Amino acid sequence: MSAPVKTFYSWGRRASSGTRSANLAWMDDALPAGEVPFLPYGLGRSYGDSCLLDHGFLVETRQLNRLISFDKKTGLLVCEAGCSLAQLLEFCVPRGWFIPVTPGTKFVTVGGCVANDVHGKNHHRAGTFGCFVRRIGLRRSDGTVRVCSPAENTGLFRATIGGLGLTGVILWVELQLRGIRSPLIRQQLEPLHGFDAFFEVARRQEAAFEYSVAWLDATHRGAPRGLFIAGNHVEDDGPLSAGVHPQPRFKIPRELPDHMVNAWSLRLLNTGYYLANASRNAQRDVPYNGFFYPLDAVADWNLAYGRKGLIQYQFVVPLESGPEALRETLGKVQSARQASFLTVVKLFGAVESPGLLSFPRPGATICFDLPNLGAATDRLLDDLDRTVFACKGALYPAKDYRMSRDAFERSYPRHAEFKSFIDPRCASTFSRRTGLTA
Amino acid sequence: MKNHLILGATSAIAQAYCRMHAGEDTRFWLIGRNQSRLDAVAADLLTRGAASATVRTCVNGDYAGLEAALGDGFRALQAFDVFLAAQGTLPDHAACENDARLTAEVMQVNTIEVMQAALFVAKRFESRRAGSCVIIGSVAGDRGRRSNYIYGASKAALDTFCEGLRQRLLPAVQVLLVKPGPVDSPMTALLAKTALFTTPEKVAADISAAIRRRSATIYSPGHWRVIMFLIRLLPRQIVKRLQA
Ligand SMILES: Cc1cc2nc3c(=O)[nH]c(=O)nc-3n(C[C@H](O)[C@H](O)[C@H](O)COP(=O)(O)OP(=O)(O)OC[C@H]3O[C@@H](n4cnc5c(N)ncnc54)[C@H](O)[C@@H]3O)c2cc1C
Ligand SMILES: NC(=O)c1ccc[n+]([C@@H]2O[C@H](COP(=O)([O-])OP(=O)(O)OC[C@H]3O[C@@H](n4cnc5c(N)ncnc54)[C@H](OP(=O)(O)O)[C@@H]3O)[C@@H](O)[C@H]2O)c1
Repeated sequence: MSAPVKTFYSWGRRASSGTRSANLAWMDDALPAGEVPFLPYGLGRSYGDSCLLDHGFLVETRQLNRLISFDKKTGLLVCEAGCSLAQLLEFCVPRGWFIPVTPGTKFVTVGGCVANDVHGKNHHRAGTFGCFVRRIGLRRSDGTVRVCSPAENTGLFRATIGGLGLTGVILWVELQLRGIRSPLIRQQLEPLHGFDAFFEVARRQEAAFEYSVAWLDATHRGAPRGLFIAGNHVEDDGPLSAGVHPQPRFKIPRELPDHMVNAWSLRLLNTGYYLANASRNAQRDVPYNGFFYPLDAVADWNLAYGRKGLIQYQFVVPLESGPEALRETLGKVQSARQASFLTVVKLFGAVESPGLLSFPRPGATICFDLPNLGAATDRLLDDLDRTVFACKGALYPAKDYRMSRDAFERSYPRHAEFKSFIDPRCASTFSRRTGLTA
Repeated sequence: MKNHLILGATSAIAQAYCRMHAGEDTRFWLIGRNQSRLDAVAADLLTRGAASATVRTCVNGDYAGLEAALGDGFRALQAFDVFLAAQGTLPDHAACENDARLTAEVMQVNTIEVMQAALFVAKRFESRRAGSCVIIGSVAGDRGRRSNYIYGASKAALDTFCEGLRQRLLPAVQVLLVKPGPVDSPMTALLAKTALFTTPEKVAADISAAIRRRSATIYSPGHWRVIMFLIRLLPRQIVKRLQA
């Protein structure tokens, strides 16, 4: 049976066209034969088109999800690349270990976390996911499996971390976990007022918190308001399991009608979220799940945005440009009358990212998410680009569906060096647009 | 100690079931046809803390080999609490319609070997007066469909088989037939994933609950019981005309 054409989606509801699926459930499963290009596909939690490939094969890895070995003294885990963080957390939390760097959802694969060199709320201390990757087993289209590490195949190692799936299929990853004594996070909330607060509070509090992020109410007119959300692992010994791995409680069953998520409903959500939390200045111990993955409580929440889906726009600028960039971009979003729910500001620290194309670099990262309103949204984003590049900033491929070759090359000065490590069979819709591949 | 004997241990459903139970007090005897895959499954279970996970391979149609693989398990671990038959193949239906050998292979993998293994195990469960014999059938066995009636027939046979075996072994020994709806596993890799699909983890959790409750037949997810009940109510005259 040859693979039929199948539609794949990214998290922002972009659809592939003319794509066939190839399943990689076992390390020695065959890659698609012939000349047609392929791209690994994890759980499709990238927002734009970096996980899609039109007229090629998407190599699905989510069934490649076995553990290979674990050293319970050192926390060194070797697992297949299709393991999701959700699966790993169920395994490691009861044993007193935690994922060293986690994005805002646990429904991502380890391979996807490597390929986007993802960051989390602890970037200012820990750096990126790739900083904890000790070795990678990489399958190339020439039939070889290359073991890559800082000591072996170093160039390929640095290209594969943040390599957008273009260097081959990651089969397994050796990952250093972080020890914990409790599944709880001691969470601290603090209301923020005015642009500068978003940067000052973060800098002041950074030393005291392992995790921090600032959420901004983008629908609020006038001086911006928001919440500084920070936390540390609780250090008291407590039971490590006990109801801490909940499955999503709600599910959006299908795409909702377009425009359900609009300026009005987003305003309501933002205001509600702000008011519910702004008064809770105190410290609270909360389960890690709610602290790191609040959105995972609703499965397939992206379907609420309707057929046209949603857009995330994330960039990083040097720290000194942070307040200016935030002021300008927020102003542009507001005057375009577009609303955002997940507007987030976070300071990246100085820990160097290991990948040639890693997005995180010292500075401030800002992220908006917007319902897709077609041409109006495109115009707005072009306008935001002007601010970002005037500040010598960079855009994040995991969230992108539109950056030009020029924008990409400005964002990633080591793109030429990266190109020499690309597997000749690999490509993505993103890599074609940005000139990384033909 | 809890001992599990698995036929088709590389199946996604079987793996999910084993993972749920992999703890210090569990031992696994894993039978399949592919050594390197079985080794990967065993490493996973050992990493999760299983006391032991032993692998045996055998090839299609070699009944003596299958018997040896099963017998070794009983000799090594003395007794099993659960036997799970997860081996199964979803064939290219059109090819089967044109090649009787392919149809024979489907029956061999899905039906004959599952029955052989179950009968081998039944004798030992019977004499110990304990154990759960779990066989994975399918909703496809409940009614013939134009697009997959050969697979359906191989699974329907298991229904009748389980009914009789249950009469023989009850009350001491449980015989559980599991009828999953479509599951996201390598078997269905090429199919588009509709909202009807469930996960191997869900089926594994349903199997575990059914073993605890000592159920006879379960659908997974449970709503398939209602759907299949309604479909079975359709008069044969109407079913005859359906094309799907
Ligand atoms: C709610 C939400 C919150 C998020 N929060 C954050 C955040 O805080 N920080 C952050 O950095 N990101 C964040 N993201 C983005 C997400 O973490 C990344 O897009 C991640 O890479 C998705 O992983 P995935 O397994 O779904 O991979 P996919 O989206 O399927 O693929 C992503 C890339 O990885 C490649 N890939 C996947 N598997 C392999 C493999 N085995 N070998 C080689 N390449 C592979 C693909 O080719 C593709 O280029 C968030 C996303 C969502 C939906
Ligand atoms: N997936 C579904 O939608 C679905 C629905 C209803 C019922 N089921 C039943 O559930 C059971 C488990 O299936 P699954 O979903 O977990 O699929 P799976 O992961 O593809 O597992 C299939 C299992 O059967 C084995 N197998 C396949 N062909 C074989 C052959 N010719 N000889 C020996 N072994 C063979 C496989 O071994 P290898 O790894 O060596 O190939 C594997 O262990 C099967 O009985 C299936 O019929 C599945």
